Amino acid sequence: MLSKQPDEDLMIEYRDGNEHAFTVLYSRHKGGLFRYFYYQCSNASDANELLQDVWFNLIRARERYQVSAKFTTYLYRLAHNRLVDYYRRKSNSLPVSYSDNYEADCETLVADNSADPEIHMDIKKQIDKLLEQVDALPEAQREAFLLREEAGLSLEEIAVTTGVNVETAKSRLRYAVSKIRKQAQI
Amino acid sequence: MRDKEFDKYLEGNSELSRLYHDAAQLRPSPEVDDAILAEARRALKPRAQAISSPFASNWTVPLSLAAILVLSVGVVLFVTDESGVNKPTESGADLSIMEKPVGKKSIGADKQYQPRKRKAAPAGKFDLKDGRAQQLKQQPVSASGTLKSRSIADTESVSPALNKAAETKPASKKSVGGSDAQYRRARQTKEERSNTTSQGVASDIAPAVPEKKLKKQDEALLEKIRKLRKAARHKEADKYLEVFRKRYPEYPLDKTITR
Repeated sequence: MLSKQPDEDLMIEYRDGNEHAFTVLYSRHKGGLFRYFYYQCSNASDANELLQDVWFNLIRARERYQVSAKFTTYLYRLAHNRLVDYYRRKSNSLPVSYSDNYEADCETLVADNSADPEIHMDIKKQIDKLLEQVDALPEAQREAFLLREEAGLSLEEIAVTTGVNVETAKSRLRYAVSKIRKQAQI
Repeated sequence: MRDKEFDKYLEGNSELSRLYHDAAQLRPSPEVDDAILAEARRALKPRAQAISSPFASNWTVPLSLAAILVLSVGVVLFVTDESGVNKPTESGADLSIMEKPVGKKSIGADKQYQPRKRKAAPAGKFDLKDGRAQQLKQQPVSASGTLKSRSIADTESVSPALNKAAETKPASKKSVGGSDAQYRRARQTKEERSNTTSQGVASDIAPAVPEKKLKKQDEALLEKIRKLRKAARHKEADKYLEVFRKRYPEYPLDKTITR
């Protein structure tokens, strides 16, 4: 059964000519990857274009695929590179949040916000607030959060995928989770 | 945010994660889905064709090398065979023939045997220049010639150059026809010669006519021998028989003549 096989085996089967293996692989990851791009771009059209580019790159590179890491890490590494290209084309530079000390500079701000009074909201409002907070996160922190939630990557894998050390990855994720919790009162 | 809370989030099953996954239902558009799956399918097609093709890339190089090798060996063998066949013709007497093309000088006096191209001459009517040819010109060639007794000696006596040409020339249709006509003409010339001479002196002339065609005087000679035998005048009969044998050494004689 292809649906129960690990991602790596499916990718190898597709590399060797099994078209159905790719279909299963795509259906597993298309939602998470799309949301990764959608929340980073805040634009469905751009997200669709980036998603297509990443999968096309994966298809072209299939014959060079070797199981050296989790498939998800490999896929989101491609996605991260494409996203960086997207940022650079859009504004000729990476967002400020990708700078090394960004989380430290913002720590005080987050701590200040934690002093808000307790407000009990219903679940729907909580969800809407949560998504708003995700959208409001700086790009690098949001990326770390999305890689954790959508791809299920560990801190080490997030570090590898985004090309930073583990401490930076941990700092970004910690910042993102803290801010969402406080703003969405979770 | 405390480290304990963050560690709990990293362990999974946090309220934040649950709420996020409840909220995140966004999906790519169906058009993008179709485009990506079509690209994945298309990317596999050339690979499948290459595998199924009998002349896939793995085969082309060795096949080409094998073909070149076979052709090279074939050409070398062909050239070797050709040179081996030509060697004998390029040496010895054949070489001298090659050096002397068949023309006026090589044939010499027998050039009259070459058929003319400007006229389609009827059989046996070649334009000959020497006296013998003139004689032949006046006498028609009998189609029922004596080709059965044709021999190399006969043709040599007629024309050595003709024999040489017959040996060296390839047996093309035209040359074969010309040789036969020449042979017939030469044969007839010889017969004519022997006839004219045999009419004068009966002795010292080799018989050139067939045995069955005895002249009247020879038949009379045989009749005379037969009568002498009957009369028991064997010495005289032997003498006449000797004369007859000189003319016709192999002519079959009955016992009434030979005793």
